[in-house]
Amino acid sequence: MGRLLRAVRHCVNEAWDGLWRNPALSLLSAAAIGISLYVLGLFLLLVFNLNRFVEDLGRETQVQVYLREDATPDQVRALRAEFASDPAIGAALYVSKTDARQRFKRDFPTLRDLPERVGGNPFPASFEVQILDAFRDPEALDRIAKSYQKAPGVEEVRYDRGWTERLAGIVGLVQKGGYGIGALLAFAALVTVAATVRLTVLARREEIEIMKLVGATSGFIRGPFMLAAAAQGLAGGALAVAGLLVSHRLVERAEIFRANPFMSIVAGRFLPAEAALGLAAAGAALGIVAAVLSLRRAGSV
Amino acid sequence: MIRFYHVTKKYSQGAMALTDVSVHIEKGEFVFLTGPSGAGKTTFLKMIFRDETPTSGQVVVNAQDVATMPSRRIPYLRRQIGVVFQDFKLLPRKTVFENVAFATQVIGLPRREQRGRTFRVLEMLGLNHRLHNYPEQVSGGEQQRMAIARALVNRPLILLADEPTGNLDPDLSQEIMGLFRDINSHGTTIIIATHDRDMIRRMGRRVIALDHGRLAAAGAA
Repeated sequence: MGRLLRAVRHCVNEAWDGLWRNPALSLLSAAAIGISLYVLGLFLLLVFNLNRFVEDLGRETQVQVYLREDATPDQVRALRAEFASDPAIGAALYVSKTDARQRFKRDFPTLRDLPERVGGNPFPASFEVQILDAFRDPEALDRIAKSYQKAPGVEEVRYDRGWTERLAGIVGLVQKGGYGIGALLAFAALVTVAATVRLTVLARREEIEIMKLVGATSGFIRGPFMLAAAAQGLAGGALAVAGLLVSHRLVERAEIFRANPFMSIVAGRFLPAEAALGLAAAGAALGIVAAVLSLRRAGSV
Repeated sequence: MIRFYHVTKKYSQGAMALTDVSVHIEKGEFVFLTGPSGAGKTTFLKMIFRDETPTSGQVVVNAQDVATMPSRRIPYLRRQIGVVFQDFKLLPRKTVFENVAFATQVIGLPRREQRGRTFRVLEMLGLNHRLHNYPEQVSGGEQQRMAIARALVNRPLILLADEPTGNLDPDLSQEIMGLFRDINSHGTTIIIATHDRDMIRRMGRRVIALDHGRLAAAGAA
């Protein structure tokens, strides 16, 4: 059997023994990492769903081009031709004054006789212009809006950019806050795990001292502690993902979820697999970092 | 094999452990290091396996400058040196066999060879009937021999022993010294720190005497 294989076997055996020598301490480490990653995961879940919502909203972005009362059929035809040749525009639907009034009556049935009362048809004709995905960023929208603002027969160009932007801003804030809280908790977990590694090192300091004196390399001494901490972290990360999955299912099944569309915005879908795996891996990484921090002195010969 | 060039060791509190010590110990030599308590014997030994570094001067062991050696090389230096500590440093929760095998495991020997070497060295030291006892279940002399077995199991070039007969009765001390002589006859360089003048006289080997960290006399006794 090769030297490397023996070293690996030594690490695995010693790490396993170490984990079971003090199960309560091992559990504490795993729990500390698990809780911090669970909270971080909750924010990830929230941000992931909010982002999806904002994206969907963005996809529905339409630019409304309202026409002047005195726009001539020629001007309307010219506009239609321009829309057709614009590479940023997918489709342009003409909504006549009559269509607009019909829509209003359909959307606001309680106010259906309002147009008649104000006299005639106050609704302007318009084009509903669908912007292609590639041109949906704020600058491109702005450019499109400005270019049609000056076209003959156009009264006003409007799009719902402000709203999406504000929402994206809020999501960004939630994201930052979540990462901040997550980082804080991860730091607390790091300190906890580092302290438990320190305790196990202290409990075995005699053995470690003798190992050094008879010529153990620092890798040989540190390896098992690192592996044990990584295993605790991985277990914590896996627990966090399991906890998130259970929480998500519970929310999904709850009455309130069906009654309240807002719930589907904040918790509609579970994290993508990469993010879930990432959380578990983050647990292992946390464990290793904590071990490295508390072993800086212990392992050096 | 071991050279000290003007070695001085000053502890941070200002105490001088060694002052300007220059010594040369040949390969295969058997040397006693003597002097009253606090003369610097333990510090001298610790310099050799790099448990201490000199404040000034140079320690060369087997052609390696010990003080400036990168720390990743230190384990390999220590594998060439067996150390019998004054307080034995045995692990109370490991058996006689495990305590000795531990040293072979640490240097990454294959398991079969770990067991073979451990059995052989324990047999040589007359501990083969004690394999499964724990340190507290064996006598002081047996604990001493455990410590020697662990120092020898990796076949070191150099064997250092700090007061190896300090708490043994004269017969046992005699026996242990005989053992060191045997080991030495196979080519291992041996340095024994002791203040047992009778024993030094009986053995008739070279003596390095330290007094308050200074070399008092060096040469054949």
